[in-house]
Amino acid sequence: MSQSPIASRKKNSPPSQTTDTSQIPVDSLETIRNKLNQVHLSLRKLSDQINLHNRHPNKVKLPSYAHFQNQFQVLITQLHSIATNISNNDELLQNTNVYPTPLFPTTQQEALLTTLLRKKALPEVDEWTESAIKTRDLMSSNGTNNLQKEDEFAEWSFAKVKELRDSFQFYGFHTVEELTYLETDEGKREAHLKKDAESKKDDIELSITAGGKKGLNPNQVLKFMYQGEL
Amino acid sequence: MVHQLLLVSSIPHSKYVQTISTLQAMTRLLSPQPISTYTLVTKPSYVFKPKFEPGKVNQIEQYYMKCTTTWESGVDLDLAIPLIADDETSSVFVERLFSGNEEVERTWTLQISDIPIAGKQVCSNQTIYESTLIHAHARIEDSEIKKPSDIADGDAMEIDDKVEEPNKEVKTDSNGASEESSTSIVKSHSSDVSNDPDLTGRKDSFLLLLESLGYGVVNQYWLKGVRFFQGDIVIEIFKIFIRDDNVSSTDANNNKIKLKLLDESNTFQIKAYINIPKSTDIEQISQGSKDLLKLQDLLKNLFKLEIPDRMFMDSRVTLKKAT
Repeated sequence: MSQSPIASRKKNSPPSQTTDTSQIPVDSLETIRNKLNQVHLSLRKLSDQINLHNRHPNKVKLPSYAHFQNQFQVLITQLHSIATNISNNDELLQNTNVYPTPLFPTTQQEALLTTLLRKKALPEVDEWTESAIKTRDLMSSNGTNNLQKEDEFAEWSFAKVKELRDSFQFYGFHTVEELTYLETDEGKREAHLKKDAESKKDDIELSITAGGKKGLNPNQVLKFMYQGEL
Repeated sequence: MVHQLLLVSSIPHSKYVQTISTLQAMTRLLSPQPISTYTLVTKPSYVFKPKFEPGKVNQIEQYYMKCTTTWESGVDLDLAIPLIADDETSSVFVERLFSGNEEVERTWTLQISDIPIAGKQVCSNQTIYESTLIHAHARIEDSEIKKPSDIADGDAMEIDDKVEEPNKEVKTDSNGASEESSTSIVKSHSSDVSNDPDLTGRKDSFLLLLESLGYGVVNQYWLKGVRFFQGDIVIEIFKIFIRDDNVSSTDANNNKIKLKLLDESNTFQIKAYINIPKSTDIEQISQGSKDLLKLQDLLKNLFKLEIPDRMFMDSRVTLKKAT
């Protein structure tokens, strides 16, 4: 919506010779238009994907969660850059007035003209804005969703865990209780038995495989079966 | 003629019981079919070298032939018990097959197989030609068959000249098999066996038949295992035994042959195959391949069925070897 007036201006300015175009802040307006176009495209793409799934739930899969996440990330970056752009050109935009040049066929394109020159936001846009402001107020009044505070808390927790970890030393895979048990005679005996059983198992395996020989590859055996030689 | 789709694998001995139980559950076959076969690998004795002539089919190959029959392991041979070399209690003996004393009818299957199809395949595709022969063993005196045995002797000599270790054993075997009753195995090892008139004195009639077909024995092996069936798929788990020539005098038993494992690591070989009667039946072949792939996927955590390398299954006689 907001991109249309700019577009109209650009379209209409070149043919006129009487109007002075040098005063138009083309650069900043152009960048804003490009950014808006980007956001528009990514939003369109996302909504297309979702709609396609809604229309053919069996054929088209809904994009994965990770995909959504990525899309939102992209959108947020794009919106952020628009916001900075707009606030950078704050003064300029506030002082700029849009009007049709004398060459514009005012009577024929009256409907278009009114749309292009419309300054008041649509009622639903007003609603969005209001609700957004309301939620923000609500959040800040609750204080729970204060992002900065959350971040601070996370950082503090991380530091605390690190600090706690540093006050311990980690060796091996046994707890202190297990270690003390292993130190006792009973524990020693048990460990010994375990070791014995294991080595016995290894010995059996070793004798079965003729001293840990690796088995013949099936191909090798096939060759023997077909040609009588290994 | 059979078209065979094949996948192979192997498992260590320690996984045998687990594998068998799994397959029992999967195939609902509580007592799998036992397999015990004896196979002679034979090779054409005469080199056929067609003259190269333009306009004629020039690629004529000679193939190894497998002759398979069944064998009885004297004692109950339990595959679940590993066979350990140098362990007296676990040695395996088999009856001599060509002792000539038995009057049993034996069924021999003669098999020649093409090299598996080249190209990207999901499993090995091979054509196999088989013929079955019912044969009453009989011993034939040398005097009656003078000529063929002469040829055989000359041939055996030839083999002897050029071969390395494994074939040496082979040669003694074809001769050894014929002289079982009279001489000890140790003696048959001497290099001039074939010249000893005593050894070639008598021959088993099956070996004679092979000779007259123009085939000489290259090697022999005993195969023992079990067989499962799942749909059209046959799953075989087996071990291969070969003749053990290091027989100490105490075990020397003239009527028995001591066996040892081909693969001393006690590894089991696994074959999963489907036989299709016609190699032109594309529909059945593709269905069979799909079935095998399904099985491969189903068993992937138990053992990994793989496509064997076709070069190892090449049973053509290469000219280099033959000359």
